[in-house]
Amino acid sequence: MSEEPILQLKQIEKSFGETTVLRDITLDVKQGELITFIGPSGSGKSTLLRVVGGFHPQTGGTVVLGGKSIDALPPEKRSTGMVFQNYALFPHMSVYDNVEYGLKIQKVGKAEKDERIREALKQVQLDGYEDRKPSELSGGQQQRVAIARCLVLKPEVLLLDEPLSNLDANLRVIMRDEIRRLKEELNLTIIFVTHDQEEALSISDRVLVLKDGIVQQLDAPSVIYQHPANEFVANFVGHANLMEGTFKVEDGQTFFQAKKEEGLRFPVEGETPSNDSGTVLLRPEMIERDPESRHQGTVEKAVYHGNYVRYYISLYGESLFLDDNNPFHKSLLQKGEKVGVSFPKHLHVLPGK
Amino acid sequence: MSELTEQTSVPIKKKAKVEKGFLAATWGIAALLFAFILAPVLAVFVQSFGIGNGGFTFEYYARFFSNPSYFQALFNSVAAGTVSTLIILMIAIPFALYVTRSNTYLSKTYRGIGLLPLVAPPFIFSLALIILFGRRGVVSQWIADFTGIEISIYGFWGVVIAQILGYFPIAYMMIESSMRNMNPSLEHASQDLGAGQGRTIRKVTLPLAGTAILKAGLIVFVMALADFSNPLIIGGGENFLASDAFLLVTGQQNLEMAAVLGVFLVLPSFLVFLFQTYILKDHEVATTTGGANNPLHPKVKAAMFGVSTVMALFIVVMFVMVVMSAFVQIIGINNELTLDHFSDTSGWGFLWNSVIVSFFAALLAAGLGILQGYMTARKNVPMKKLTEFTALFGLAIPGTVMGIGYVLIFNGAPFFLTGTIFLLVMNMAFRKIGVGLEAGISKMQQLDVSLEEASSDLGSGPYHTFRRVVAPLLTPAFMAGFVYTFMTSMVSVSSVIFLISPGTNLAAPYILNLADQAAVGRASAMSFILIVIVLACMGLLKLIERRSGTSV
Repeated sequence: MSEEPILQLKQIEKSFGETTVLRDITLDVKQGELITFIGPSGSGKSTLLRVVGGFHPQTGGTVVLGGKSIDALPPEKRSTGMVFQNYALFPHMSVYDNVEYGLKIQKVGKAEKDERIREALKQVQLDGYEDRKPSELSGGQQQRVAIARCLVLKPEVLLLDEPLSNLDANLRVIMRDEIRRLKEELNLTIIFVTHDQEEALSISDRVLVLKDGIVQQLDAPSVIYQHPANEFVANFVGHANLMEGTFKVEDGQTFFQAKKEEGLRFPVEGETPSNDSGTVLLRPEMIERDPESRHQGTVEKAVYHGNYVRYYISLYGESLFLDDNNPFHKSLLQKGEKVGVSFPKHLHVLPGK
Repeated sequence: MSELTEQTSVPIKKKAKVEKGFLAATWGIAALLFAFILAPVLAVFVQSFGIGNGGFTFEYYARFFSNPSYFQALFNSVAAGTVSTLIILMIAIPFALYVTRSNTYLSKTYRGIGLLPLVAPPFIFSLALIILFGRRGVVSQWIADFTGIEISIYGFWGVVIAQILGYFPIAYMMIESSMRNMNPSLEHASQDLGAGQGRTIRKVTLPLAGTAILKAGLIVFVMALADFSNPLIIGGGENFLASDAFLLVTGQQNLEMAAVLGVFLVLPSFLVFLFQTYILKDHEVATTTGGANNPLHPKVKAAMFGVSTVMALFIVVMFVMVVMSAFVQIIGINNELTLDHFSDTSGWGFLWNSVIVSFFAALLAAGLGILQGYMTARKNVPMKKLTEFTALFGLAIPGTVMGIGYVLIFNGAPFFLTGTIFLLVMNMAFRKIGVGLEAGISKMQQLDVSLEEASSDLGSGPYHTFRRVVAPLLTPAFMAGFVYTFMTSMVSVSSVIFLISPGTNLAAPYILNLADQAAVGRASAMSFILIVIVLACMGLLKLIERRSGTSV
């Protein structure tokens, strides 16, 4: 990497009393990058964010921001800006006063202050709302004020703690795009905590998957989804059929042979693991309905989702599920009906245990 | 932000450290709590064993049990307390049922009447009873004229009646709020399962309100047990613990015997305090607010309404008598309207003293209480549990005991503080500081920590955060604590009566003295003014509640 990272986490450890919640976490964040921390509740994702913000000082390791260690700094001395899950707008202050709060502490001159507040509110499209009280704003607007309140201080890194979880589904998508837009326009460095895998995939430059305080994988969204590092990531980000088996070459063609069932065998291409065995990832949309296929299973359950139908089938005694996309003009299969399926040629094999 | 970056390798502490200012405040408050709550109570204990005046001895306790008058005092206080409490509960439960199950102007009026005694000095009903049934009372005269029988309200039963009227609102308030917050679907379920209303009330409603009823009963009992002013005015010379303790101090300078009586006053309060702080606390029945309560069946309602009406009328008549007696020459004898009773110059002076003392006491109690509440809820300050315990215990200690304790500590060298405005302020402030503390803690529990974190994240230090974010949000709690302390200080008697001097007298003890001397007109006039002031405070409190939109 040619460029010095703006934020570095080095071997971060964090424990509360006897309980260790973060273990050996190392991460470099580049200027202008949006990194998402994702994991189930209790995985330590919010704690890690709070370590960066200075609210939960780590018990081991170092946080470097802009080339300097900030371990000894309390939150108020760190140039990090945090947007809280519940926004934490000061209820007794107007929108203007909320945004002005940090500038006043920095003793910024009147003219510059007004200009920066105006600009920040404009960036989040809230110009004209200066005199409102937080209680007079909608959830989305409160969210924007919380972001503006941080932006106005020009923090080196913006920390967003599940910022969209209190919004309804449509607004969540709008705000997600909005955050992405702000990030592009202002070249912001953002750490974003979420438990929503779709949100993580769609907003991030890179995704950090955490479980039990341990990094499972740190990669671009497409890599996380298509090449998960282990079973946990495969199941947590998206849905997955995981199938153990071996790779065999016959007549110059490589085949994948499922471990459990003799009949479940299909040709594959690309590299095979060195020991010729492993667990392969079959996302439900990778398996296709194919009446011509020699693999004929039985529908166990069909769940209609609108844009696709998810079929749970049994095939040679193995349970699989697949998504039949664009179900327009196709017959919906009922429980007990036969279904032919075909498998993809290119497979991701999970690294050995 | 760069000047600190050199200290990269400072070891990271496990617990967040507390800022020096907050630490200093904690120690300061703890010292004050010790000096003005714990030390006086301990002094009473120590003195009851003769320590400080000769050496450790059980002599005073022996004397307590051998002298029939002391034992009579204990018996009378316990008996009056028990009878009052039982009757109060028997009235308060139907009263609360009626008010919570009807939504009419009448029921709302009853609610107001039920709470009315709170705004008056604690002895107002003794005064009113004397006006009606005293030796020259309106009703006594009337009976004497027609039947020739002389009746007198003075004595044990007079005290009981005065206590029933005076302590009713406390029990009523607690029972009513528990019934109001009860989930109505529980009663619906009971009736849906085939229970009639009577059965539903017995099997569902009352058990659900059980904790509140028990709590109310215990609190009323210890308050009545420690009742000071009613026995003094209307006791007719009967022995009661608190009034005897007072007379022992002021009349005979017998501090040791007074301390023994004080121990018998404070022990029940202490036990009840422990019981409700540590045992009843977790037994509150989970209830949900909202939803209309079940209306009562006409028959049930008629019975509840009957009891409520008798009680409400009784209270109203009492107040009317005091107001009337304030504005006529001698009520029942010369009913000519007059303002003479209000031209009591020393009375006005003492009233002014009361306002000043109560104002500063309220400022201290609310200010320090809420500051300590904030630190208890948010900062890792030492002695949290102990300070909270002490402050709340301060609320439970009978005033008489506090008064004796203050006399023991502050009367002599090196303080010589009795009779000073300062000591009166401290006494009132620290008896009520628990209210501010609780208000502060509960308000902080409602406020999300992220507000303070956000402030800190935006570059604000801990003191600035406290000033700009926490303090403004705590203002309603402060105002509530302030008004409450002011109100209660204005009418409080039992503790400050030990600490006043002719120059620093206060309104409530002064009225007590007037009533004791049967100067009914002037006592009524002063009581009337006091009630008006306190009512105005209540109005202010309601206004704050409405403004801030929070229940305080």
